[in-house]
Amino acid sequence: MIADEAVPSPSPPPPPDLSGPDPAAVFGRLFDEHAVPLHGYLARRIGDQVADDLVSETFLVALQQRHTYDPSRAGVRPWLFGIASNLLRRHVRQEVRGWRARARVGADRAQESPEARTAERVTAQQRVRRLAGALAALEPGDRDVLLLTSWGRLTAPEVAQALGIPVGTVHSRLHRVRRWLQAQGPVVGGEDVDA
Amino acid sequence: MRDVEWTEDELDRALDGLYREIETDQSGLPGVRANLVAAARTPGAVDLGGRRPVRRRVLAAAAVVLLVVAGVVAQTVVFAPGSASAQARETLTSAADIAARAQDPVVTAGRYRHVTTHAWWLKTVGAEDRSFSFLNENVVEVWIPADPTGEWLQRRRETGNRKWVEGTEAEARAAGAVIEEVPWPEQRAKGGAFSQNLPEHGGWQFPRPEFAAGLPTDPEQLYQRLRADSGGGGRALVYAADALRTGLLPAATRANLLRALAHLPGLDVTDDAADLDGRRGVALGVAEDGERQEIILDPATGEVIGERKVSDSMFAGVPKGTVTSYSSVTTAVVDALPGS
Repeated sequence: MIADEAVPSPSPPPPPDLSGPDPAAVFGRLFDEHAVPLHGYLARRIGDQVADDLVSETFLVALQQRHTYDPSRAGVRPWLFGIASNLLRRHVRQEVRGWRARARVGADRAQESPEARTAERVTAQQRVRRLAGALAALEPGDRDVLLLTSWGRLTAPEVAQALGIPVGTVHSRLHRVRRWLQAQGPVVGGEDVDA
Repeated sequence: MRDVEWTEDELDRALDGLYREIETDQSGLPGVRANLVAAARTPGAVDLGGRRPVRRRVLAAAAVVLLVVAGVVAQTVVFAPGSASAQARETLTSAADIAARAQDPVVTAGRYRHVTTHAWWLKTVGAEDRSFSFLNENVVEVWIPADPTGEWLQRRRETGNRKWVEGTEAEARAAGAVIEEVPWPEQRAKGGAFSQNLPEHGGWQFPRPEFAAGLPTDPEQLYQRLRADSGGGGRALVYAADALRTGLLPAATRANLLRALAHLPGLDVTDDAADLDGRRGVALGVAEDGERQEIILDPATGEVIGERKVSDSMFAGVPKGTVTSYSSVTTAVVDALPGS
Protein backbone atom coordinates (compact mmCIF):
# COMPACT_ATOMS: atom_id res chain seq x y z
CA MET A 1 0.00 0.00 0.00
CA ILE A 2 1.10 3.58 -0.56
CA ALA A 3 2.20 5.57 2.46
CA ASP A 4 -0.53 7.60 4.09
CA GLU A 5 -0.33 11.38 4.03
CA ALA A 6 2.48 11.23 1.47
CA VAL A 7 3.24 13.75 -1.23
CA PRO A 8 0.07 14.38 -3.26
CA SER A 9 0.54 11.26 -5.38
CA PRO A 10 0.61 10.55 -9.08
CA SER A 11 -0.45 13.95 -10.48
CA PRO A 12 3.03 15.21 -11.39
CA PRO A 13 2.62 18.98 -11.80
CA PRO A 14 2.48 21.10 -8.64
CA PRO A 15 -0.99 22.06 -7.41
CA PRO A 16 -2.39 24.46 -9.98
CA ASP A 17 -3.50 27.90 -8.93
CA LEU A 18 -7.14 27.43 -9.78
CA SER A 19 -8.19 30.89 -8.73
CA GLY A 20 -5.73 32.60 -11.06
CA PRO A 21 -6.69 35.32 -13.55
CA ASP A 22 -7.16 33.00 -16.57
CA PRO A 23 -9.65 30.28 -15.55
CA ALA A 24 -10.27 29.26 -19.18
CA ALA A 25 -6.64 28.21 -19.68
CA VAL A 26 -6.34 26.62 -16.23
CA PHE A 27 -9.55 24.61 -16.57
CA GLY A 28 -8.74 23.62 -20.14
CA ARG A 29 -5.52 22.04 -18.85
CA LEU A 30 -7.33 20.51 -15.89
CA PHE A 31 -9.83 18.95 -18.26
CA ASP A 32 -7.16 17.60 -20.60
CA GLU A 33 -5.42 15.93 -17.72
CA HIS A 34 -8.32 14.48 -15.77
CA ALA A 35 -11.42 14.21 -17.97
CA VAL A 36 -10.56 10.89 -19.64
CA PRO A 37 -9.87 8.85 -16.47
CA LEU A 38 -12.82 10.48 -14.74
CA HIS A 39 -15.08 9.67 -17.68
CA GLY A 40 -13.83 6.09 -17.75
CA TYR A 41 -14.58 5.68 -14.06
CA LEU A 42 -18.06 7.16 -14.33
CA ALA A 43 -18.86 5.18 -17.49
CA ARG A 44 -18.14 1.92 -15.70
CA ARG A 45 -20.45 2.92 -12.89
CA ILE A 46 -23.32 4.52 -14.74
CA GLY A 47 -22.85 4.20 -18.51
CA ASP A 48 -21.43 6.44 -21.24
CA GLN A 49 -24.23 8.89 -21.62
CA VAL A 50 -24.73 9.84 -18.01
CA ALA A 51 -20.94 9.89 -17.69
CA ASP A 52 -20.75 12.70 -20.27
CA ASP A 53 -23.22 14.76 -18.25
CA LEU A 54 -21.48 14.04 -14.97
CA VAL A 55 -18.04 14.96 -16.32
CA SER A 56 -19.51 18.20 -17.56
CA GLU A 57 -21.18 18.96 -14.25
CA THR A 58 -18.11 17.97 -12.26
CA PHE A 59 -15.93 20.49 -14.08
CA LEU A 60 -18.57 23.20 -13.90
CA VAL A 61 -18.91 22.67 -10.15
CA ALA A 62 -15.12 22.72 -9.88
CA LEU A 63 -15.02 25.99 -11.83
CA GLN A 64 -17.67 27.47 -9.61
CA GLN A 65 -15.92 26.36 -6.42
CA ARG A 66 -12.36 27.06 -7.58
CA HIS A 67 -11.85 29.77 -4.96
CA THR A 68 -12.56 27.32 -2.18
CA TYR A 69 -10.14 24.68 -3.48
CA ASP A 70 -7.26 24.28 -1.04
CA PRO A 71 -4.30 22.42 -2.53
CA SER A 72 -2.88 21.79 0.94
CA ARG A 73 -5.94 19.74 1.86
CA ALA A 74 -6.54 17.67 -1.28
CA GLY A 75 -4.93 16.90 -4.61
CA VAL A 76 -6.80 17.99 -7.73
CA ARG A 77 -7.58 14.44 -8.75
CA PRO A 78 -9.28 13.42 -5.47
CA TRP A 79 -11.02 16.79 -5.40
CA LEU A 80 -12.55 16.16 -8.84
CA PHE A 81 -13.43 12.53 -8.05
CA GLY A 82 -15.04 13.78 -4.84
CA ILE A 83 -17.26 16.24 -6.70
CA ALA A 84 -18.15 13.50 -9.19
CA SER A 85 -18.96 11.09 -6.34
CA ASN A 86 -21.37 13.62 -4.88
CA LEU A 87 -23.06 14.12 -8.23
CA LEU A 88 -23.23 10.38 -8.80
CA ARG A 89 -25.36 10.03 -5.67
CA ARG A 90 -28.33 11.45 -7.54
CA HIS A 91 -28.13 8.44 -9.83
CA VAL A 92 -27.89 5.69 -7.24
CA ARG A 93 -31.13 4.05 -8.32
CA GLN A 94 -30.01 3.94 -11.91
CA GLU A 95 -26.63 2.55 -10.93
CA VAL A 96 -28.20 -0.18 -8.80
CA ARG A 97 -30.51 -1.11 -11.69
CA GLY A 98 -27.39 -1.51 -13.81
CA TRP A 99 -25.77 -3.87 -11.29
CA ARG A 100 -28.93 -5.93 -11.08
CA ALA A 101 -29.14 -6.15 -14.85
CA ARG A 102 -25.57 -7.31 -14.86
CA ALA A 103 -26.40 -9.94 -12.27
CA ARG A 104 -28.93 -11.36 -14.76
CA VAL A 105 -26.94 -11.05 -17.98
CA GLY A 106 -24.60 -13.95 -17.24
CA ALA A 107 -27.65 -16.17 -16.82
CA ASP A 108 -29.13 -15.29 -20.19
CA ARG A 109 -25.87 -15.71 -22.03
CA ALA A 110 -25.17 -19.07 -20.44
CA GLN A 111 -28.60 -20.35 -21.37
CA GLU A 112 -28.60 -19.23 -24.97
CA SER A 113 -25.45 -21.03 -26.05
CA PRO A 114 -25.20 -24.52 -24.57
CA GLU A 115 -21.89 -25.25 -26.26
CA ALA A 116 -20.35 -22.33 -24.43
CA ARG A 117 -21.40 -23.71 -21.08
CA THR A 118 -18.13 -25.25 -20.10
CA ALA A 119 -17.71 -25.58 -16.39
CA GLU A 120 -14.97 -22.97 -16.14
CA ARG A 121 -16.98 -20.44 -18.10
CA VAL A 122 -20.11 -20.94 -16.10
CA THR A 123 -18.09 -20.67 -12.92
CA ALA A 124 -16.61 -17.39 -14.09
CA GLN A 125 -20.02 -16.06 -15.09
CA GLN A 126 -21.50 -17.10 -11.77
CA ARG A 127 -18.82 -15.13 -9.98
CA VAL A 128 -19.41 -12.02 -12.05
CA ARG A 129 -23.15 -12.27 -11.46
CA ARG A 130 -22.66 -12.73 -7.74
CA LEU A 131 -20.26 -9.84 -7.54
CA ALA A 132 -22.63 -7.56 -9.45
CA GLY A 133 -25.53 -8.62 -7.24
CA ALA A 134 -23.48 -7.99 -4.12
CA LEU A 135 -22.33 -4.57 -5.36
CA ALA A 136 -25.98 -3.64 -5.86
CA ALA A 137 -26.53 -4.43 -2.19
CA LEU A 138 -23.81 -2.17 -0.81
CA GLU A 139 -24.44 1.10 0.94
CA PRO A 140 -23.59 3.90 -1.53
CA GLY A 141 -20.77 5.15 0.72
CA ASP A 142 -19.22 1.71 0.86
CA ARG A 143 -19.52 1.34 -2.91
CA ASP A 144 -17.77 4.68 -3.39
CA VAL A 145 -14.84 3.66 -1.21
CA LEU A 146 -14.49 0.30 -2.96
CA LEU A 147 -14.77 1.55 -6.53
CA LEU A 148 -12.78 4.77 -6.11
CA THR A 149 -10.00 2.48 -4.93
CA SER A 150 -10.42 -0.33 -7.44
CA TRP A 151 -11.46 1.57 -10.56
CA GLY A 152 -10.52 5.16 -9.77
CA ARG A 153 -7.05 4.04 -8.63
CA LEU A 154 -7.17 6.46 -5.73
CA THR A 155 -5.04 5.74 -2.67
CA ALA A 156 -6.70 5.55 0.74
CA PRO A 157 -5.66 9.14 1.66
CA GLU A 158 -7.03 10.32 -1.70
CA VAL A 159 -10.32 8.50 -1.16
CA ALA A 160 -10.49 10.17 2.25
CA GLN A 161 -9.95 13.58 0.63
CA ALA A 162 -12.48 12.85 -2.10
CA LEU A 163 -15.24 11.79 0.25
CA GLY A 164 -14.37 14.06 3.16
CA ILE A 165 -13.94 11.23 5.65
CA PRO A 166 -10.97 10.19 7.82
CA VAL A 167 -8.34 7.87 6.34
CA GLY A 168 -9.00 5.38 9.13
CA THR A 169 -12.62 5.20 8.06
CA VAL A 170 -11.57 4.50 4.48
CA HIS A 171 -9.35 1.64 5.63
CA SER A 172 -11.96 0.09 7.88
CA ARG A 173 -14.78 0.44 5.33
CA LEU A 174 -12.66 -0.99 2.58
CA HIS A 175 -11.61 -3.90 4.75
CA ARG A 176 -15.19 -4.63 5.79
CA VAL A 177 -16.58 -4.38 2.28
CA ARG A 178 -13.89 -6.62 0.86
CA ARG A 179 -14.45 -9.23 3.56
CA TRP A 180 -18.13 -9.13 2.76
CA LEU A 181 -17.62 -9.53 -0.96
CA GLN A 182 -15.11 -12.33 -0.44
CA ALA A 183 -17.70 -14.24 1.59
CA GLN A 184 -20.35 -13.94 -1.10
CA GLY A 185 -20.96 -17.35 -2.49
CA PRO A 186 -17.93 -19.59 -2.56
CA VAL A 187 -17.40 -21.35 -5.84
CA VAL A 188 -16.68 -25.04 -5.73
CA GLY A 189 -14.00 -26.40 -7.99
CA GLY A 190 -13.25 -23.25 -9.92
CA GLU A 191 -10.88 -20.36 -9.57
CA ASP A 192 -10.87 -18.67 -12.95
CA VAL A 193 -12.56 -15.31 -13.01
CA ASP A 194 -11.71 -14.45 -16.58
CA ALA A 195 -14.85 -15.16 -18.59
CA MET B 1 -12.75 -29.60 -4.23
CA ARG B 2 -12.57 -26.07 -3.05
CA ASP B 3 -15.11 -23.89 -1.42
CA VAL B 4 -13.08 -21.36 0.49
CA GLU B 5 -13.91 -17.73 0.08
CA TRP B 6 -12.44 -15.61 -2.67
CA THR B 7 -8.85 -14.66 -2.05
CA GLU B 8 -7.86 -10.98 -2.06
CA ASP B 9 -6.30 -11.52 -5.46
CA GLU B 10 -9.38 -13.20 -6.91
CA LEU B 11 -11.56 -10.35 -5.69
CA ASP B 12 -9.21 -7.78 -7.24
CA ARG B 13 -9.26 -9.61 -10.55
CA ALA B 14 -13.03 -9.95 -10.50
CA LEU B 15 -13.54 -6.27 -9.68
CA ASP B 16 -11.02 -5.25 -12.25
CA GLY B 17 -12.67 -7.37 -14.94
CA LEU B 18 -16.15 -6.06 -14.21
CA TYR B 19 -17.30 -3.73 -16.98
CA ARG B 20 -13.79 -3.54 -18.32
CA GLU B 21 -15.19 -4.69 -21.66
CA ILE B 22 -17.13 -1.45 -21.94
CA GLU B 23 -15.75 0.45 -24.89
CA THR B 24 -15.95 3.87 -23.43
CA ASP B 25 -17.28 6.31 -25.95
CA GLN B 26 -15.39 9.55 -25.36
CA SER B 27 -16.63 11.31 -28.45
CA GLY B 28 -18.72 13.63 -26.28
CA LEU B 29 -15.76 14.98 -24.34
CA PRO B 30 -14.59 17.68 -26.80
CA GLY B 31 -18.04 19.26 -26.64
CA VAL B 32 -17.96 19.10 -22.85
CA ARG B 33 -14.55 20.78 -22.88
CA ALA B 34 -15.74 23.54 -25.19
CA ASN B 35 -18.65 24.29 -22.85
CA LEU B 36 -16.35 24.35 -19.86
CA VAL B 37 -13.87 26.74 -21.45
CA ALA B 38 -16.72 29.00 -22.61
CA ALA B 39 -18.14 29.04 -19.09
CA ALA B 40 -14.71 29.83 -17.66
CA ARG B 41 -14.39 32.80 -20.04
CA THR B 42 -17.70 34.28 -18.94
CA PRO B 43 -17.42 35.73 -15.45
CA GLY B 44 -20.57 35.03 -13.43
CA ALA B 45 -21.92 32.61 -16.00
CA VAL B 46 -21.51 29.62 -13.75
CA ASP B 47 -24.19 29.50 -11.12
CA LEU B 48 -25.09 25.97 -10.34
CA GLY B 49 -25.91 26.73 -6.74
CA GLY B 50 -29.62 27.34 -7.14
CA ARG B 51 -30.19 24.88 -9.93
CA ARG B 52 -28.39 21.75 -8.90
CA PRO B 53 -27.12 21.85 -5.36
CA VAL B 54 -24.32 19.44 -4.59
CA ARG B 55 -25.84 17.28 -1.96
CA ARG B 56 -24.14 16.62 1.30
CA ARG B 57 -23.78 13.09 2.45
CA VAL B 58 -26.08 11.81 5.15
CA LEU B 59 -24.15 8.73 6.13
CA ALA B 60 -24.02 9.65 9.79
CA ALA B 61 -27.74 9.08 10.18
CA ALA B 62 -27.51 5.64 8.62
CA ALA B 63 -24.64 4.70 10.91
CA VAL B 64 -26.68 5.58 13.97
CA VAL B 65 -29.50 3.29 12.86
CA LEU B 66 -27.11 0.38 12.37
CA LEU B 67 -25.66 0.80 15.85
CA VAL B 68 -29.07 0.79 17.46
CA VAL B 69 -30.11 -2.42 15.70
CA ALA B 70 -26.81 -4.15 16.39
CA GLY B 71 -27.25 -3.52 20.08
CA VAL B 72 -30.33 -5.73 20.17
CA VAL B 73 -28.67 -8.97 19.11
CA ALA B 74 -25.59 -9.20 21.27
CA GLN B 75 -23.71 -12.48 21.27
CA THR B 76 -20.25 -11.86 22.56
CA VAL B 77 -17.56 -14.44 23.11
CA VAL B 78 -14.25 -13.39 24.64
CA PHE B 79 -11.17 -15.35 23.63
CA ALA B 80 -7.82 -15.47 25.36
CA PRO B 81 -4.77 -14.80 23.21
CA GLY B 82 -1.81 -17.18 22.99
CA SER B 83 -3.19 -20.56 21.94
CA ALA B 84 -6.45 -22.44 21.91
CA SER B 85 -8.40 -22.50 25.17
CA ALA B 86 -7.98 -25.43 27.55
CA GLN B 87 -11.40 -26.74 26.62
CA ALA B 88 -10.61 -26.52 22.89
CA ARG B 89 -7.26 -28.27 23.38
CA GLU B 90 -8.93 -31.06 25.32
CA THR B 91 -11.61 -31.50 22.65
CA LEU B 92 -9.04 -31.55 19.85
CA THR B 93 -6.73 -33.99 21.61
CA SER B 94 -9.54 -36.37 22.37
CA ALA B 95 -10.86 -36.16 18.80
CA ALA B 96 -7.33 -36.67 17.45
CA ASP B 97 -6.85 -39.85 19.52
CA ILE B 98 -10.05 -41.28 18.09
CA ALA B 99 -9.27 -40.09 14.55
CA ALA B 100 -5.84 -41.75 14.66
CA ARG B 101 -7.45 -45.13 15.33
CA ALA B 102 -10.21 -44.72 12.77
CA GLN B 103 -10.55 -47.39 10.12
CA ASP B 104 -11.23 -45.69 6.83
CA PRO B 105 -13.84 -47.53 4.77
CA VAL B 106 -12.11 -49.57 2.11
CA VAL B 107 -13.01 -48.57 -1.41
CA THR B 108 -12.47 -51.64 -3.54
CA ALA B 109 -11.77 -51.49 -7.27
CA GLY B 110 -14.71 -50.25 -9.29
CA ARG B 111 -16.41 -48.60 -6.32
CA TYR B 112 -16.48 -44.93 -5.33
CA ARG B 113 -16.20 -42.77 -2.27
CA HIS B 114 -19.25 -40.50 -2.38
CA VAL B 115 -18.86 -37.20 -0.50
CA THR B 116 -21.98 -35.10 -0.10
CA THR B 117 -21.86 -31.54 1.19
CA HIS B 118 -25.02 -29.71 2.18
CA ALA B 119 -23.98 -26.10 2.21
CA TRP B 120 -26.04 -23.11 3.27
CA TRP B 121 -24.21 -20.13 1.87
CA LEU B 122 -25.14 -16.51 2.34
CA LYS B 123 -26.28 -14.69 -0.73
CA THR B 124 -26.95 -10.98 -0.73
CA VAL B 125 -28.83 -9.44 -3.61
CA GLY B 126 -29.56 -5.78 -4.17
CA ALA B 127 -32.66 -4.01 -5.27
CA GLU B 128 -33.16 -0.30 -5.79
CA ASP B 129 -33.64 0.84 -2.24
CA ARG B 130 -32.44 -2.06 -0.15
CA SER B 131 -30.68 -5.35 -0.09
CA PHE B 132 -31.89 -8.84 0.72
CA SER B 133 -29.92 -11.70 2.21
CA PHE B 134 -30.63 -15.37 2.56
CA LEU B 135 -28.93 -18.64 3.24
CA ASN B 136 -29.16 -20.64 0.06
CA GLU B 137 -28.91 -24.42 0.20
CA ASN B 138 -26.48 -26.00 -2.23
CA VAL B 139 -25.79 -29.71 -2.53
CA VAL B 140 -22.37 -30.63 -3.82
CA GLU B 141 -21.67 -34.29 -4.52
CA VAL B 142 -18.31 -35.74 -5.45
CA TRP B 143 -17.63 -39.31 -6.51
CA ILE B 144 -13.99 -40.36 -6.02
CA PRO B 145 -12.87 -43.60 -7.68
CA ALA B 146 -11.02 -46.32 -5.78
CA ASP B 147 -7.90 -45.21 -7.57
CA PRO B 148 -7.98 -41.45 -6.87
CA THR B 149 -5.94 -40.73 -9.98
CA GLY B 150 -8.92 -41.90 -12.06
CA GLU B 151 -11.84 -39.78 -13.17
CA TRP B 152 -13.85 -37.97 -10.52
CA LEU B 153 -17.40 -36.70 -10.95
CA GLN B 154 -18.84 -33.57 -9.32
CA ARG B 155 -22.43 -32.37 -9.33
CA ARG B 156 -23.76 -29.24 -7.79
CA ARG B 157 -27.24 -27.85 -7.52
CA GLU B 158 -29.32 -25.33 -5.63
CA THR B 159 -32.14 -27.06 -3.79
CA GLY B 160 -34.37 -23.99 -3.75
CA ASN B 161 -34.40 -24.12 0.06
CA ARG B 162 -33.75 -20.68 1.47
CA LYS B 163 -33.61 -19.20 4.93
CA TRP B 164 -34.22 -15.47 4.79
CA VAL B 165 -31.95 -13.35 6.92
CA GLU B 166 -32.87 -9.90 5.67
CA GLY B 167 -36.22 -9.35 3.96
CA THR B 168 -38.56 -12.00 2.60
CA GLU B 169 -38.67 -13.87 -0.69
CA ALA B 170 -41.88 -12.10 -1.68
CA GLU B 171 -40.33 -8.68 -1.01
CA ALA B 172 -37.17 -9.56 -2.89
CA ARG B 173 -39.07 -10.80 -5.93
CA ALA B 174 -41.35 -7.80 -5.89
CA ALA B 175 -38.29 -5.56 -5.87
CA GLY B 176 -36.84 -7.40 -8.86
CA ALA B 177 -33.83 -8.91 -7.10
CA VAL B 178 -32.11 -11.82 -8.86
CA ILE B 179 -32.44 -14.91 -6.69
CA GLU B 180 -31.84 -18.09 -8.70
CA GLU B 181 -28.50 -19.12 -10.10
CA VAL B 182 -27.68 -20.62 -13.44
CA PRO B 183 -27.70 -24.42 -13.17
CA TRP B 184 -24.21 -25.72 -12.64
CA PRO B 185 -22.86 -28.12 -15.23
CA GLU B 186 -21.62 -31.55 -14.20
CA GLN B 187 -17.84 -31.75 -14.00
CA ARG B 188 -15.54 -34.68 -14.63
CA ALA B 189 -11.82 -34.54 -14.04
CA LYS B 190 -8.92 -36.94 -13.71
CA GLY B 191 -7.55 -37.00 -10.21
CA GLY B 192 -10.23 -34.54 -9.07
CA ALA B 193 -8.55 -31.57 -10.75
CA PHE B 194 -11.81 -29.73 -11.45
CA SER B 195 -10.04 -26.41 -11.61
CA GLN B 196 -7.25 -25.56 -13.98
CA ASN B 197 -5.27 -23.65 -11.41
CA LEU B 198 -4.59 -26.40 -8.92
CA PRO B 199 -1.05 -26.72 -7.64
CA GLU B 200 0.64 -29.67 -9.27
CA HIS B 201 1.54 -31.43 -6.05
CA GLY B 202 -1.67 -30.56 -4.25
CA GLY B 203 -2.45 -28.22 -1.41
CA TRP B 204 -4.78 -27.89 1.54
CA GLN B 205 -7.84 -27.77 -0.70
CA PHE B 206 -6.64 -30.70 -2.76
CA PRO B 207 -4.26 -32.77 -0.65
CA ARG B 208 -2.59 -35.17 -3.03
CA PRO B 209 -0.58 -37.97 -1.35
CA GLU B 210 2.73 -36.17 -1.92
CA PHE B 211 1.35 -33.04 -0.24
CA ALA B 212 0.16 -35.01 2.79
CA ALA B 213 3.47 -36.87 2.97
CA GLY B 214 5.36 -33.56 3.00
CA LEU B 215 3.54 -32.11 6.01
CA PRO B 216 5.40 -31.92 9.35
CA THR B 217 4.38 -34.64 11.81
CA ASP B 218 5.05 -32.49 14.85
CA PRO B 219 1.76 -30.73 15.70
CA GLU B 220 3.32 -27.36 16.48
CA GLN B 221 5.38 -27.36 13.29
CA LEU B 222 2.30 -28.47 11.38
CA TYR B 223 0.41 -25.52 12.84
CA GLN B 224 3.22 -23.16 11.76
CA ARG B 225 3.01 -24.57 8.23
CA LEU B 226 -0.78 -24.20 8.21
CA ARG B 227 -0.49 -20.63 9.47
CA ALA B 228 2.11 -19.74 6.84
CA ASP B 229 0.07 -21.22 3.98
CA SER B 230 -3.32 -19.87 5.02
CA GLY B 231 -2.49 -16.54 6.63
CA GLY B 232 -3.58 -17.74 10.06
CA GLY B 233 -6.63 -17.07 12.22
CA GLY B 234 -9.99 -18.10 10.81
CA ARG B 235 -8.34 -18.97 7.52
CA ALA B 236 -6.15 -21.56 9.22
CA LEU B 237 -9.35 -23.18 10.43
CA VAL B 238 -10.88 -23.05 6.95
CA TYR B 239 -7.78 -24.58 5.34
CA ALA B 240 -7.65 -27.35 7.92
CA ALA B 241 -11.34 -28.13 7.37
CA ASP B 242 -10.84 -28.04 3.59
CA ALA B 243 -8.17 -30.71 3.85
CA LEU B 244 -9.98 -32.80 6.46
CA ARG B 245 -13.22 -33.11 4.57
CA THR B 246 -11.74 -34.16 1.23
CA GLY B 247 -11.44 -37.71 2.52
CA LEU B 248 -7.94 -37.78 1.02
CA LEU B 249 -5.84 -37.45 4.18
CA PRO B 250 -4.63 -40.61 5.92
CA ALA B 251 -5.88 -41.12 9.49
CA ALA B 252 -2.53 -40.24 11.08
CA THR B 253 -2.39 -36.92 9.20
CA ARG B 254 -5.97 -36.08 10.16
CA ALA B 255 -5.13 -36.69 13.81
CA ASN B 256 -2.00 -34.54 13.57
CA LEU B 257 -3.94 -31.72 12.00
CA LEU B 258 -6.45 -31.73 14.86
CA ARG B 259 -3.57 -31.60 17.35
CA ALA B 260 -2.01 -28.76 15.35
CA LEU B 261 -5.17 -26.70 15.74
CA ALA B 262 -4.63 -26.72 19.52
CA HIS B 263 -1.89 -24.13 18.78
CA LEU B 264 -4.29 -21.75 17.04
CA PRO B 265 -4.54 -18.58 19.16
CA GLY B 266 -8.05 -17.70 20.22
CA LEU B 267 -9.60 -21.02 19.26
CA ASP B 268 -12.32 -21.97 21.72
CA VAL B 269 -15.29 -24.26 22.08
CA THR B 270 -18.11 -21.98 21.03
CA ASP B 271 -21.01 -24.42 21.06
CA ASP B 272 -20.92 -27.91 22.53
CA ALA B 273 -24.08 -28.98 20.70
CA ALA B 274 -23.96 -27.34 17.30
CA ASP B 275 -26.83 -28.57 15.15
CA LEU B 276 -26.23 -28.86 11.40
CA ASP B 277 -29.68 -29.92 10.22
CA GLY B 278 -29.82 -32.74 12.72
CA ARG B 279 -26.15 -33.68 12.80
CA ARG B 280 -24.71 -32.56 16.09
CA GLY B 281 -21.17 -31.89 17.16
CA VAL B 282 -18.84 -29.62 19.09
CA ALA B 283 -18.12 -26.26 17.46
CA LEU B 284 -14.62 -24.81 17.75
CA GLY B 285 -14.23 -21.26 16.53
CA VAL B 286 -12.11 -18.14 16.28
CA ALA B 287 -13.47 -14.62 16.00
CA GLU B 288 -11.86 -11.96 13.85
CA ASP B 289 -12.85 -9.13 11.54
CA GLY B 290 -16.47 -9.15 12.57
CA GLU B 291 -17.14 -12.82 12.10
CA ARG B 292 -16.54 -16.12 13.79
CA GLN B 293 -15.30 -19.11 11.83
CA GLU B 294 -16.10 -22.52 13.28
CA ILE B 295 -15.48 -26.16 12.51
CA ILE B 296 -17.81 -28.79 13.92
CA LEU B 297 -16.31 -32.04 15.23
CA ASP B 298 -18.11 -35.26 16.02
CA PRO B 299 -16.47 -36.21 19.33
CA ALA B 300 -17.45 -39.87 18.88
CA THR B 301 -15.58 -40.33 15.60
CA GLY B 302 -13.08 -37.47 15.61
CA GLU B 303 -14.41 -36.39 12.21
CA VAL B 304 -15.07 -32.88 10.98
CA ILE B 305 -18.75 -33.00 10.15
CA GLY B 306 -19.13 -29.41 9.03
CA GLU B 307 -18.35 -25.74 9.25
CA ARG B 308 -20.21 -22.67 10.33
CA LYS B 309 -19.75 -18.93 10.20
CA VAL B 310 -21.41 -16.43 12.50
CA SER B 311 -21.43 -12.68 11.99
CA ASP B 312 -19.89 -10.76 14.84
CA SER B 313 -20.91 -7.33 13.62
CA MET B 314 -23.75 -5.71 11.74
CA PHE B 315 -23.31 -5.38 8.00
CA ALA B 316 -25.60 -4.93 4.99
CA GLY B 317 -28.64 -5.30 7.20
CA VAL B 318 -27.52 -8.67 8.61
CA PRO B 319 -27.50 -8.48 12.40
CA LYS B 320 -24.65 -9.56 14.62
CA GLY B 321 -25.02 -13.14 15.80
CA THR B 322 -26.55 -14.33 12.53
CA VAL B 323 -25.30 -17.65 11.14
CA THR B 324 -24.03 -16.55 7.73
CA SER B 325 -23.10 -19.96 6.40
CA TYR B 326 -22.90 -23.57 7.45
CA SER B 327 -22.27 -26.84 5.76
CA SER B 328 -22.25 -30.50 6.69
CA VAL B 329 -20.41 -33.34 5.02
CA THR B 330 -21.25 -37.02 4.80
CA THR B 331 -19.21 -39.77 3.19
CA ALA B 332 -20.30 -43.17 1.93
CA VAL B 333 -18.92 -45.88 -0.31
CA VAL B 334 -21.07 -46.65 -3.34
CA ASP B 335 -20.98 -49.27 -6.07
CA ALA B 336 -21.31 -47.07 -9.12
CA LEU B 337 -21.66 -43.57 -10.48
CA PRO B 338 -25.22 -42.26 -10.70
CA GLY B 339 -27.04 -42.47 -14.02
CA SER B 340 -27.21 -39.14 -15.77
